[in-house]
Amino acid sequence: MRALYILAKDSLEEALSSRLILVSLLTAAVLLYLGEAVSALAAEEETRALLDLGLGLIELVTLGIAVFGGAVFFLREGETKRADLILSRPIGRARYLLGRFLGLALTAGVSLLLTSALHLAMLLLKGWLFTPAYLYALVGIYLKVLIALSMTLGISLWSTSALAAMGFSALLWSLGHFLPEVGELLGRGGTRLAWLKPLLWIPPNLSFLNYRDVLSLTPGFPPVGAWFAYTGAYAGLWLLIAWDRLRLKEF
Amino acid sequence: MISAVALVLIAAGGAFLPRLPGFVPPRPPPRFETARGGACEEALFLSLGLRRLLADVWMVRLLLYYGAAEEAMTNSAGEQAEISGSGGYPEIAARAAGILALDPSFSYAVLYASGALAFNLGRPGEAIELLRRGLAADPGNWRYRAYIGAIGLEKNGDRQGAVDLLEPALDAPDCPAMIKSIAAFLYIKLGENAKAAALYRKILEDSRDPGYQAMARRGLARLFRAARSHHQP
Repeated sequence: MRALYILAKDSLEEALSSRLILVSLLTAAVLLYLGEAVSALAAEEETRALLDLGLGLIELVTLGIAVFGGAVFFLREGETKRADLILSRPIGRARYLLGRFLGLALTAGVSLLLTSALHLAMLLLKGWLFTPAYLYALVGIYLKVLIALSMTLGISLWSTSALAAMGFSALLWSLGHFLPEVGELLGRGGTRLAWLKPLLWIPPNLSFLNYRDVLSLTPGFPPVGAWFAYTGAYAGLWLLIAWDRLRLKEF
Repeated sequence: MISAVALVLIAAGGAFLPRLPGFVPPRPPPRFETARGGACEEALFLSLGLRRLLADVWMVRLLLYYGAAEEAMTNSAGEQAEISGSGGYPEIAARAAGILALDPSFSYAVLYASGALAFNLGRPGEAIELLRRGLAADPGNWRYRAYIGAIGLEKNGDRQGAVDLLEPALDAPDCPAMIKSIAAFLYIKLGENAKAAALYRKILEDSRDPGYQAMARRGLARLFRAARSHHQP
């Protein structure tokens, strides 16, 4: 447990001290500021536009940090020989992977908290009335990012290029949001395209976690327990794929 | 081997989990024929899970499509021209229906477009059809029913009946300033200037739209002048 904590803390500190997260957060701040100007075009629906634009930007920035971090992490660990250094100690590869995953997840969480605090301040200044649905939307965003991070780690360990890992993760991310639409398009193709349907079982069902997109449609509490169960199972399986490669990998 | 088993488990989960209760997608896919944006833009937003934001973008386009022209019309010929209206803007109903398909809870788009169609452009049939679509998407929204009633009465020349039906909707947060200004105009026609002035003040307080704020200021000034000339001997 202590090893996990040290590995996670080390990953978080490294990410926070790098310029990547600083640049990402500054980008988010500038985009949110510009978003305020753009949302003014929506006239009487200004706060709604600012809410949607801000949540979308928060998700994309957090996703960028997680996916980039996940894609380059083990490549960098190999290049700098840090992996050798860590694995020469009595730390199993599963714990090493889990510790690094938790560190990157914490980094994404810090980014999410900082950008959403800025967004929330802007909304409240505009006279928006706070609703707990905002917090559920953030939870949904974070769980989606954790899924993307686990996929990226799994793919990055199997591929030799960080770019390929990021590209493939982005593809799965897009398909994950597009499943109902792709399903309908395949349905229109009839039996001719039926063989493609099983391919849609692999991407994560991100529509299920995309609460920020249905804020005003779903009264009552969202199924947060089912969200966590799904994320745990899906991300866990991708981490298993990552571990399967890591246990044989020579750094 | 372990990776292969994990992938099979992921696929099995993907195949069976959506069938469990409580795991339904949040809404059905949009009706593609109602889309009014570029296909690439739509695919980009949907694939990033930004359906609500896409609805906002389309709403801004609807406001720019109709709002700018409406403002020019009002500035040149006054509110009378706005209320009696003239043709054009054939895409209003289709654009609003596209927004509704993206976000069935976005009542502002339906109320705005149906108000423009019924009271400004003289096309109540299209307005009622759009409101019916809104009701089908959000059956609990009583404002749609009130608007349908008000449009029907106004069409038959019953202005008093129309404002009576609109009145409860005027305080709702999603009531467009356009509807408030239409109601104010109907009040003036009915000789209820105090109610019209209250509505113009409400537009000045609530609306973030500078066009409607300017219109409300002009309306208040006109009412003030009318009241002064009425009291002068």
